Amino acid sequence: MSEHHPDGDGLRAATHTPAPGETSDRTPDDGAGWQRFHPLTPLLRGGVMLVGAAGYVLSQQFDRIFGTAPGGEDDPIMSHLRIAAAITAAVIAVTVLGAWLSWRAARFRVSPHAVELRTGILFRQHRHIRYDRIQSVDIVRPLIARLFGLSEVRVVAAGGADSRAALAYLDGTRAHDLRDELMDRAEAANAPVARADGAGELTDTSVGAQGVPPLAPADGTPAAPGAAPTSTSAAAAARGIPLVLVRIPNARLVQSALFHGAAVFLAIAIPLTVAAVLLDWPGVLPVLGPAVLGVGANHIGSLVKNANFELSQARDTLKVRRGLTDLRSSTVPLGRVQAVQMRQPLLWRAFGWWRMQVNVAGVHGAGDDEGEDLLLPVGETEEALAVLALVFPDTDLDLARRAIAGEGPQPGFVGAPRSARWLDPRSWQRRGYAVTDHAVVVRGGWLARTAQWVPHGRIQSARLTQGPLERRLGLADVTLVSTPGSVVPVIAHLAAGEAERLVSEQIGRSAAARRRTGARRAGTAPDLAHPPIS
Amino acid sequence: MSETAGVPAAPAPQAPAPQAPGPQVAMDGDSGLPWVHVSPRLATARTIALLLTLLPFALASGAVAVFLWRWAWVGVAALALLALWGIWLIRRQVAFLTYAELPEEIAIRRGRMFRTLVTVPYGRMQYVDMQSGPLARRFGLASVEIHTASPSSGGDIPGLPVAEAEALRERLAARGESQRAGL
Repeated sequence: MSEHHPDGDGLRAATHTPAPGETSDRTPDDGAGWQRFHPLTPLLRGGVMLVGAAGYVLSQQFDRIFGTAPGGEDDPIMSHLRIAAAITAAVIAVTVLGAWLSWRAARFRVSPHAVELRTGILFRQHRHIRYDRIQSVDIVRPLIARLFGLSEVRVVAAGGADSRAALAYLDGTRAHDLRDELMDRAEAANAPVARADGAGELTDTSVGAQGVPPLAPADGTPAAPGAAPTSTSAAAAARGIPLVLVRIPNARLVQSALFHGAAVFLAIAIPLTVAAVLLDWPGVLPVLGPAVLGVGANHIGSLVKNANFELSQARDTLKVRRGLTDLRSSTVPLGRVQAVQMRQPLLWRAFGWWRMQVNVAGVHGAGDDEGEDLLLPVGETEEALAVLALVFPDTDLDLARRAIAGEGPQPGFVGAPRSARWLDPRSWQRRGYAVTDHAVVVRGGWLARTAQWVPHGRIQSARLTQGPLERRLGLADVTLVSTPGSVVPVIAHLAAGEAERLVSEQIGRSAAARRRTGARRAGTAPDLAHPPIS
Repeated sequence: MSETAGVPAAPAPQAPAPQAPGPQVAMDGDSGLPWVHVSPRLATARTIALLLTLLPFALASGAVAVFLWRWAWVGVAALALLALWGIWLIRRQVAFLTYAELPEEIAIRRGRMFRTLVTVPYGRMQYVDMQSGPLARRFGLASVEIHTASPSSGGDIPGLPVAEAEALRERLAARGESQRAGL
C-alpha cells in the first residue's frame, strides 16, 4: 500500500510537455508515448447536460401538444421560456467547450514503470500511478457512453479517493486492451523475479491470444521477440479466453431480492403508507414515507446494479461484469484478496443462497465503490464454495461446509463457552473459529449466518478486547484486523484464555505465512499460488 | 490440506511448533514479556487537560450559584466529583498502558475496565508517526502512532518521553523495513 501520494514520485522528470496542436488520438503523438482520449469525450462529459436539455425541450413540446401552456407569440410565459431555453443552450455550449478544452489538454501514457495521466489547462495535474501500486483496473460504462460504445478505464491504487485515475473515454476494444495491459504490468511489477522474462510475458499478452495488435505501444519496454513466455500453456489459455465461472440468472436475483429483509419491510410498510394516505392517519406518512422511498430505491438500485451478473477468470484476476443500465466491470486480483465472507440472510437459507464479498486492498466497498467488493450477489452454496476455492486455493472445503452451516461444538472449531449465552442467548452456539494451515475461519450469526476466511499472512493486526461484563463471565473478543472493507472478522465471546491463546499463536502463524509469501515472491515459482481452475 | 487448531500439521512449516512456544501475550501479568510502562507524566498532562476543560464550567456554575440561584452549587459539586473520578480514571488508564516489543510484533495493552490488547506485526506497518501536542511537549512527551493498511489497527502509544519515542520510532521503522511484507 502506498504511503506516498501517487503524484510526485518517480518519473515526473522524464515527462515532457507535448507541443500543442497535435492531432490523432490513436497514435502516440510524440516520442514519449502520450495518447489522447476519444474525440467524443467532450460531448459525453457534457452528456448529462444534453439529456437534461433534451428533456426540457421535450417537456415544452408536451405542453404545446396538450395545450396546457397557452400558445401565442407574445405570451409572457412563452418569452420567459425562450429566455430560459437560451440560457440553457448557452450553459451547454460553455460546458461542452470547457469539456473540449480539457479533452485537448488531457493525455495519458503507459510508461515503463507507471501509468500517467495529465489533465487540466490552468491547474495542471500530473497523476502518476506506479504499476506496483495498482490495486485494480476497472472498466466503467455509463449509459450515455455505452450508447457510443465508449468506456472509462479506472485505475485504482491503494490509498483512498486521491489515488485513482479515470482514463475517459476510450473506445470499447481499446479500453479492454488497455485494461489487460495495465493488469499484466501490475502483476509483473509485483513479481520482481518474473521481471527478467516479464518483458516477454508482456509482449505476449499485448499481442494477445485474440490476435489484436497492441494498441498502446509498449514504449520503452524492450519488445524481446524471442523471449519465452514463462507461464504454462494452461495459464496462457486462461489468459486468452476469460473463463466464465458463474452467471447469476436475473430470475434468481429478483427472487433473492424478494426474499430479503428490505422486501419484507416494504411489503409491510407500503400498504401501511397507502392506508395512512387514504384514511388520513396523522403522523404515519412523515415517518414511513421517507423510509419506504429510501429502502425501496436502495433495494431496486442494487438489483439494477447487479443484473446480468457474471464472474469470470482471466489469469490471476477475477472479473465481474454487471449492470442493467450502467454496465460495470471490475477486476479483483486474486493475489490481493485480504479476506472473504459468505453471508446468508435468514430467508435465503431455504434456497441455499449466499452472498460473497471480499476485502481488497484499496477498494473500500463504500460510496463510489459500492458493490465492487461483491463476488457473488446471490450464489448457490456450491458456486460460492467453488469461488472460495479459487480465491484461496488452500481452503479446506469440508471445514468450509461446517463453517457455513454448523452450530455448537464441531471438529476443528473453537466455540464460545456456555457463559456467553448471557450476552448472546442465541448466536453463541454459532460463534467460533477454526485455524487451518493457511487461514483463520470465523463462523457466526444466528439468523443471518456468516462465515469468513482470513489468510494468516493477510492479517494486519490482532486486537483482543474485554469489557467489564465479559470480564465477569471470563470472555473476550478477538478482532483480526483486515484492510477496510465489508469483511470485518471478529470472533466475539471466546473464553478469555482461548482468546489470549489465539492472539499469541496467531503471532507465529502470521509471521510464518508472511515469510512464506516473501520467499515465494523473491524466490522460485510465482504462479504456484494460483493454479488454473479445475 | 489443512489441519485444524488442535492437530499440529506434520509437514507444513508451522511456526509455533518448532520455534519454542513463542511469546504468550496475556491481558494480565507480564507473562515473561518485556512490557514497558508509559511515562507517569502522561497522567499529569492528561489531568491538567481535564481540569482545564472542566474549570470554565465550574466557574460558570459557581457564578450562577453566587449571583442567581443557590442550587447551582450542586453543579459545582458534581463537576468536582467528575474531576475526582476523571483523575482516578486517568491514573489507572496510564498505569495500565504498556507496550512490549516482541521479535515479530509490537504489543500494546490499555485499559482496566475495558481492556484492549493489540498486536501489530512489524512487517505490516506502513509508516510510523511521532506526534506531540503543546501540552505534551511541555511535559517532554510524545506519542508514537503505528499505521497499517487498516485505519482500525489502532496502534498508538501516547506518553513516551521524547527521546524514547524517537528511539522507538527509529527501531520500528528499521524493523518495518527489514520485515516488510507485501499486501
